[in-house]
Amino acid sequence: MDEYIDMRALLEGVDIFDVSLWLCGLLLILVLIGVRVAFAAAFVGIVGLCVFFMQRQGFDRGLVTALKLAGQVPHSKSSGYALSLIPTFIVIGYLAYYAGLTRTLFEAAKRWVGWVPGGLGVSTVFATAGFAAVSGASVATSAVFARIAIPEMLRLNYDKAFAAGVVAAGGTLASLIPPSAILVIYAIIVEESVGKLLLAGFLPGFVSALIYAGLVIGLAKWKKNLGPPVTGYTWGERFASLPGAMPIMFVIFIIIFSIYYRGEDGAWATPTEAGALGAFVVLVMALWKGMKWRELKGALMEAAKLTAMIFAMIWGVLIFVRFLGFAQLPDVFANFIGGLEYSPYLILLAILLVYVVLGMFMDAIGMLILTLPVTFPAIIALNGGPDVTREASAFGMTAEECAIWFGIIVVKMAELCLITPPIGLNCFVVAGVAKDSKLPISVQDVFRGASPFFVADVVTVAVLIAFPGIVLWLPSLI
Amino acid sequence: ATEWNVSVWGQRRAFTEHIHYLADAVAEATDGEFTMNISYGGLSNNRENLDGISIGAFEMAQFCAGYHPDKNRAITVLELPFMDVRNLDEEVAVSHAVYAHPAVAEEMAQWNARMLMTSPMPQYNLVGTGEPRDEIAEMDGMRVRATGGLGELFSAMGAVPTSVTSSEAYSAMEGGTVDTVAFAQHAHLSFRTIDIADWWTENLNPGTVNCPVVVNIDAYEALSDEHREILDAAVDDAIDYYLENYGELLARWDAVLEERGVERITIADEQLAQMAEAAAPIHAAWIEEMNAAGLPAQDLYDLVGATLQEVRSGN
Amino acid sequence: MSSSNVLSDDSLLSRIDRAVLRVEAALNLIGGATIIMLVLLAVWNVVGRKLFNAPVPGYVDWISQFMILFAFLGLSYCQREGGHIRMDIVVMRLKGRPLWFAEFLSVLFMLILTTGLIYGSWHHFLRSFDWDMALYSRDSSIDIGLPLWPAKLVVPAAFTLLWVRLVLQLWGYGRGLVQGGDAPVAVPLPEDPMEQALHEAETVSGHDER
Ligand code: NA
Ligand code: NA
Repeated sequence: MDEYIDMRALLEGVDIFDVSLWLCGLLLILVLIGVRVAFAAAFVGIVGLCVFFMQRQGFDRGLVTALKLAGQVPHSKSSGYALSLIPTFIVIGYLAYYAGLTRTLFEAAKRWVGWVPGGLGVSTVFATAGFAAVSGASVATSAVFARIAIPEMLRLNYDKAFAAGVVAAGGTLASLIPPSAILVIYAIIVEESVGKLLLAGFLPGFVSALIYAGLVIGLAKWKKNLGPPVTGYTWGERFASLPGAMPIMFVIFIIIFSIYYRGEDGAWATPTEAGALGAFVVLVMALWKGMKWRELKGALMEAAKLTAMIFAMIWGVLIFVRFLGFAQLPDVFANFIGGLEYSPYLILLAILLVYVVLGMFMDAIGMLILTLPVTFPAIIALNGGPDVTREASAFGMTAEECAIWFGIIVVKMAELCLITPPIGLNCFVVAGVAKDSKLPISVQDVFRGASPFFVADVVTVAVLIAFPGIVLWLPSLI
Repeated sequence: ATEWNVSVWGQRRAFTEHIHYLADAVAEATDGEFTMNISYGGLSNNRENLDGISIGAFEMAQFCAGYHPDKNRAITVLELPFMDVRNLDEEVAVSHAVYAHPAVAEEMAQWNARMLMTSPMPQYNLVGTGEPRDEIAEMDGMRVRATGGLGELFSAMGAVPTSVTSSEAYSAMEGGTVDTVAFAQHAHLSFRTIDIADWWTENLNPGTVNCPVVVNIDAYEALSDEHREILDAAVDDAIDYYLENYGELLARWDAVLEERGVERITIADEQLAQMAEAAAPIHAAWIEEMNAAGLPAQDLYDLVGATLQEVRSGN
Repeated sequence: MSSSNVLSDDSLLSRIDRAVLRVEAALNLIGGATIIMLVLLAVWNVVGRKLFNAPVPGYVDWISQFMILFAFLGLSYCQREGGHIRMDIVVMRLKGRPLWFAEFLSVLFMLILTTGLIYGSWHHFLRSFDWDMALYSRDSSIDIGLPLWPAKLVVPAAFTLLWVRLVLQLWGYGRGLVQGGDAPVAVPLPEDPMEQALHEAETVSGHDER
């Protein structure tokens, strides 16, 4: 083939960095014309690898090298131990749903806080925050509450975009409030204590939920037709709703206990195992509550389908990321940031803006995997290096505190990308569940409804930057 | 101009300094005609660097034998427990002697790889929490994070090898999932297991991992004679630089222990002798298994001993 | 499973579609069962360690092997059900032949990609497999040396099933393109807004009650 098409000559002088920018554009086009996202990313990644290797090895060998290299990624990336948390957390969500646990949580939230303006929206926020304490995946949380909260809000004539938006945004709380898959992934990438990061997420998750609730109330007061409050519950009915939410509390207790309780023989489980313990408890409860084989099978079918979808996203994006690695896009970015001579907070802001832009197109895990090798050392250096004292540092914290603080901020940013167009996993999943439940809600509706929460998230990030104590207080206790 | 991509993992550290030295030396000697891009994780997973070399995705890579013993059976002799390698110089000598064995070259050639140099690692001593375990009897029931042959060895002492990833080692030890972790010093530092340790075994010296740097054979042969000579010539200097640099880290180690209040544990000679005895069946089993795999196992095994003798008589 | 809005009839295509679906659904269920198995393994590991000081030997290695099952066994089923996420901002505005053309094109991209991935992942398997070695292994796990080839073989196998599914969908959309109309069989159809509205009431009272 090389005699007919001399790829090396053809590609001579083509700058691979330019190619990577062009391919980012191609990815956008493929996604816009409706190619499944995971496959569009993988396709563009392979095209990039082909250009890279054909330039060096000619057509035949370049093609073979590119395909063999891309063909490693699905197995290699899907067998990473830390990712084993993801299906566990998804299955918790589905089992809890099929066992009716999430409905009781939503019901309790409705009775206690439903009376405020936009009451079902606020209830959704607090129910997702509560559920976040048993679910480690934002996407799964959104999927579960899309089934429960959206139909109820639609029945009370809530604005359909708002109803979908609050569920998509509420789901993102699952990644801050432990257990959290993405915090574990962050901890593993930057080699920081998983336990401390999970602890650090508690208060920011709670603050984030409060800010969401404030936003919903504000919106409901401002736009009268957004959705009515739900009133008329007696105190008796309120307290009656609490026992129904107890199983969730028990699971929360099990997870927290097994990670944090230190007997003379140490903690019960690693954070990874604690997620599985939580799932086991929910499974037993579901069976005890009379879950039938047909329902268990349904839950497993759904969980497996969603798991396959998320893993396809992971390996698909990572094939693209592998190409970016060869094109050295991350290095170029590092040099760029390293060369800036502005205030550390301005550079932090710039990095966060890059996350906003990247987050529009990428999924949270792919984005973190791609960027952290670059941004994390940059942030640590910005703070004053790995051995800096609080007094001498730029952000007033040690390197370890900086790692935890930046982790929570960056995870919040990554969560943000789950609700921004054009690619926002939570919005897709909400739209998918809505479609599944035959509700008239399009992806565009979900994005529109989620857009105010983007503003709330920006406020949350600003609060966390201004008051790092919110992040660092709990981990400082152990 | 020749440009090589080099795949390593993690962050730049003592363990990768010789590769940076090599890249700089080669670029300088060729006036920038032959350069290397060193990528930390951008080109491959750490467990798939040999695959990448085999595919021709990059020209040079580092890997550790214990990550995937079946990919590199021959050099796993260097990871057997209690081989009595006493310092990094000896580790370099035995590694390079084994790398030069035709059976190793042949096995690497199946991956289109050629051994360039080693990345010598000190012995994987234990750090632990709680009461010091300086006798075999005290290792009974000890939950230890140690992989492969080391795990087998501790298992023979009655310990319980407990499976956690190296990046999970810190939180596993912090939470009590394991009581002890076996790493080289730099890994105890970078995975921060030393930060929560109460003690460190200074003379257990149970064994270590072996991590070669390899080059893609096609790329190596495609170099001009001049460039190839420059590359080969730079290896010894790179290793010297590595040893000097790692030596500084080891010198700091005492200060690290003191700073963190970590007790040094010395294990009595007769206890060590018992452990070495327990390692003998593991050695025998290795020889049998590798023979079955068609490797000159006894030959490789004896080569390690002979090289050690040679080094020691030379000093 | 109720999510499927794939039509069927007596045509050869539809019969093949349903036959393949049976395989896909069974594999997807195995994937789901693997998640439960992983949960049980973790419980065994924790309880074994805590109560008997006997954790599962090579726990991390085993988990890494099992992960491949739930990551890939549902891949093709997910495509059959239209479960892989995408932006339908453009597609939803199309109807009839233009729509089937867009879908055809989109599946064609996936088919080309999948063909490449079968080749690549098959070679990834081949590099870990050796007829002459114990357990046929030329690549093994870090902790207890499990052979990796079985897990690596799952990947090209799953891609091959996906390949078959994509060919069926190309056939289905191709038929839609040739015959026109708005309801070709054996492919996931976009939901008609009227139909959605009709289903709404029954969904709110029915499906979410559990
Ligand atoms: Na959570
Ligand atoms: Na986004």
